[in-house]
Amino acid sequence: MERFIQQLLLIFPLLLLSACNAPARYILVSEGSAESYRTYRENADQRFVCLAQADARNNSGLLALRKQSDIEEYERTRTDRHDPVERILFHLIRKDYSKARDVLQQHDAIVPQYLRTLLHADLAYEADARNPAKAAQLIKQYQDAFDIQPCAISREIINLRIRQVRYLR
Amino acid sequence: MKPIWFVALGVMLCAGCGGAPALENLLQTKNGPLGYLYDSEKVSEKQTGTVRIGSVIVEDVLPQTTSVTEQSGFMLPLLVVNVWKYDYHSQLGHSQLTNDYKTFIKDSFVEELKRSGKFSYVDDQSAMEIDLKIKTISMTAPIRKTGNVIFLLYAVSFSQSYYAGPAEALITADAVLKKDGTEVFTQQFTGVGKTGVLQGRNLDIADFTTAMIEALSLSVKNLHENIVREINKI
Repeated sequence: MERFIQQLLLIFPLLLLSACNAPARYILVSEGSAESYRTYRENADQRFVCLAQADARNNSGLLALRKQSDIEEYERTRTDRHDPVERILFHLIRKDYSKARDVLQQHDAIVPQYLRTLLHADLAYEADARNPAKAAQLIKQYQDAFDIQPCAISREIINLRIRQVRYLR
Repeated sequence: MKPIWFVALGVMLCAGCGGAPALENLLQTKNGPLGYLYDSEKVSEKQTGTVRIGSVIVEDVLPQTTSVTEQSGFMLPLLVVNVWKYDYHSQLGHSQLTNDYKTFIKDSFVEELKRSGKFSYVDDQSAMEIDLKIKTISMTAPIRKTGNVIFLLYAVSFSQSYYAGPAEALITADAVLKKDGTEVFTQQFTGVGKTGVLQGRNLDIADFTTAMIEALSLSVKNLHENIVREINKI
């Protein structure tokens, strides 16, 4: 029995560590990236945002954030806290949707249109997805975002979003 | 008689029960809108000529309520091991749709014509006119329920699983295209939409309603894309 408890005590921190280091909900991928977003997909709740090459270059640090530990590490070493696009995306990755919404509203004109429409749709999803009455409106918002996305994989990514709108309970 | 035998007898009697009417009630708890992503290639530079919609007739092709009918099934009450398997067929009713399917079919057809049609879409006077009549919507939406109860002397094991899907919708329509009053084509078109299988012990069977709505949405999309592709061949 004692041996069992000892083993349990050894395993417990590992379990705790793996639970703390959960995969990020929002993952940024880059246009033309050799790897598909599927490479990073760990569960059905994950959502991907594909950045145009110029935005990906400006926010290369954000592209590498896959796990909770990556996000914490990035926050420690974060240098440019004034770029609104970086701030919005970082709040999104940290699941701080209200802050992301605030910064987006303040700097709406600076954010590239393809990203702005997608972020508006995603933030609306985070606020209203559990309300079935909003489903048609959310699908429309994703439709508006779809046609101006720079990435070829946006077709799959936005189709996935629409499925998430449908099946969320 | 020991209480365990009362429990065992109760479980045995109830095992495999809650068939079609119970499933029907579960499916009716969920609803959602018809809708899909317009992802066909956009034609931004339209050719000379315009097209308009003459009429879109959608007959009452969907029943009012969602229904489930038992197709086949058996239960083997072998006292110690009891096994059952039932197959059902479900049909989506329009009361599960939060938007009007007739309006949706018409509006989405207009949207698809505007998006991927090579001719400009206009509301009024036009050289080309298309009449659309939706004739049938058929749905293959199977649900299978399997389970077993095993009685031991002081223990009872119960297991039940559902497999639902794939939900497949087939929509059939007649389209007549006229140019300056002359018939260009009269053709029957079909649209197919299919979704994946839902399965597992933790499956919320009400999600199958969502799957049927998704399949129907995709079949409407497929139908419209097929018709517009044919118009673009002119």
